[in-house]
Amino acid sequence: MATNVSSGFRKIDIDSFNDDVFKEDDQVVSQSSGTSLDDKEILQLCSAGKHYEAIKSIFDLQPQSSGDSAIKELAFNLIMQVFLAVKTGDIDRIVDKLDTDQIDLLMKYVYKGFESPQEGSSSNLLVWHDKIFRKSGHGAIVRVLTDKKKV
Amino acid sequence: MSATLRPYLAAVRKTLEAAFCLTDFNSQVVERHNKPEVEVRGNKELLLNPVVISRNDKERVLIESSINSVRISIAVKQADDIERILVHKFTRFLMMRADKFVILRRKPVSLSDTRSTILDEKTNPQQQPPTGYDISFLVTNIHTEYMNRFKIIDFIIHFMEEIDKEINEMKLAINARARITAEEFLKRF
Repeated sequence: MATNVSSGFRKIDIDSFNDDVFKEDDQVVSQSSGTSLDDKEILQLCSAGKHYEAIKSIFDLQPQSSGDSAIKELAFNLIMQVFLAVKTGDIDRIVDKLDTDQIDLLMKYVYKGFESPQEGSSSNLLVWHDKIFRKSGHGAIVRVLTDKKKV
Repeated sequence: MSATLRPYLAAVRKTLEAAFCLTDFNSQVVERHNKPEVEVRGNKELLLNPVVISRNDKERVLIESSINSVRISIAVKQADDIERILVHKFTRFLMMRADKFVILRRKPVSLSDTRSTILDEKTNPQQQPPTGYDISFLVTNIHTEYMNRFKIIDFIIHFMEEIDKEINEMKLAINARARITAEEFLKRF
């Protein structure tokens, strides 16, 4: 009798039918990034000592709001190369030139770099972390923690 | 060696200071319950992005924060088998007495807890996923209410400093002891 009633309804997550349910809207794809990034150009800028320009041209792609994982991957790899290429003494000069949004983005890449440590990359990133923190305070870290736009 | 230790600990400290913004938060699912959201993972909007800070590929700290709790997991340096055994025994000793340490978690977080959040974007399988963590802390808003926030951070940083030293000392003690034992034993021949 009652035992024959299916119990499948117990498994339904009724909370997901609420009006106020939280949905992650990660589909904020900006279409402006039609231009592909020329990694050779970036490397040239790096070797010419124009690290600020290199960072800026990577950020112009808006990798954080692009839905394309290939662009994110490429931007991340390039940023890591820039991180490793800059001399410790020059970091302050570059960080001083960036505005708040760019600083936040840079901090995100520092934390992303920590996730996959390679030979000698972490000590470099720790220096970057320190210098960015000196410019931005806790704000940049908080925005890394809270921002859903992943890099 | 200590050249990277100081910036490493400084980075961890700053991140913890940023992450320790905890508030009281009742469970959204069960009435009159109040659970650490970082553990129950009930709702994505209550969880913040987990961050990793690494000193090298062996030593890492994972900081997962949520609205009312922060989970800090530490991977301790283990260069060889002796260190691995020592770390295991040492952390186990502490974790069996986790109640007395208030913020200590009884188990380190396992990768399956964190994999869904961190490693799902790992596209490169050759890059071996990081191994697990050795010891975890769970700090809730209750702790930050009756203890000084900065003292908790101080404690965690101090713990990270000390555990390396401790393991090194124990390793030296073991080697010294083994040498004496072997000497005594070989005297007979």
